[in-house]
Amino acid sequence: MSSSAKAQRPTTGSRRIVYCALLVAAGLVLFLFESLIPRPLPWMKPGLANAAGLVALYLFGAREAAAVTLLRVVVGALILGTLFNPSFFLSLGGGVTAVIAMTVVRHFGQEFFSIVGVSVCGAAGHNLAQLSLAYALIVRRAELFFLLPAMILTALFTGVVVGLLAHLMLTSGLRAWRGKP
Amino acid sequence: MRRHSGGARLWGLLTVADRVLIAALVLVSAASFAAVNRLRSTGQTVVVEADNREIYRGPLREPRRLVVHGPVGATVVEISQGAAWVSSSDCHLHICVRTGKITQAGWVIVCVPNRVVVRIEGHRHNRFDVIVG
Repeated sequence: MSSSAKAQRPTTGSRRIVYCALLVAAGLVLFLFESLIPRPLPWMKPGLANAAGLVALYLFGAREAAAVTLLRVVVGALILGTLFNPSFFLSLGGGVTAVIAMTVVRHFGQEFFSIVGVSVCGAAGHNLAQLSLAYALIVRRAELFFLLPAMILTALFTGVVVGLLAHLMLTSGLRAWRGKP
Repeated sequence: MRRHSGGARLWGLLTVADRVLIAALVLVSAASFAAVNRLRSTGQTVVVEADNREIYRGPLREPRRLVVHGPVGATVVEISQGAAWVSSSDCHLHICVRTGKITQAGWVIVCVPNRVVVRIEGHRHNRFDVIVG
């Protein structure tokens, strides 16, 4: 097991709520940041915001990860003014798929994968779901899947970055937050 | 965990399965890049000319076998699975046969003695190496 799991877990009720709220806020910052990055299709996002869900998954569990992700998607859409737009459904589908993928991989692959591997699987799920939803809801042209190789490469990159980010948040970040050197 | 520089510590974080996963995704991505390139050719058109007259025009993905008669005999043009090629020709040097398969817009097969030209038209026309009069 990686050292991220050895970090002391804040499990009591109100503490958990505070941590989840902080994670929603962190996810929102990443979500708004990535909405500024230029992309081939403006409704798609690389999925940096999944870092918040991933940290929630490792700190608490699948329920909290889902809650953090759903709240981030809804509040992010409220801030951007895209609630119930196609791009909202793409974010929703991508986020939910990523959480499901990360939960499954973490549950069944705990001995094999570190947090980075779990994150890469989540990013792949996120991007594939977004591509499929973009096909189903918006573009409806098979040529859209010409983007697939680029999406896989992007998933790889964001997956590794998000995994390392989550690892740092779970180790040094938590220590700093608690004021322990 | 040893206290190395940040990069070395993060590299040590990756398990064997992580690295296999990352390598597999790189491979899948490269393979699908190649597949997409092949697929793109399906929107393209094959044009066959004999003695400067267009005698056939059709999609590259439609399998077809054409026998073109020219000054020195017959030239057999085959089209199948996104590629066009000359499978046999009555000409001397068989340069057209040895050109092999063409798949991209702008690529040409020429049989000079039999006055046959096979070319591919499509959305991309930047594939010429050189144009000789």
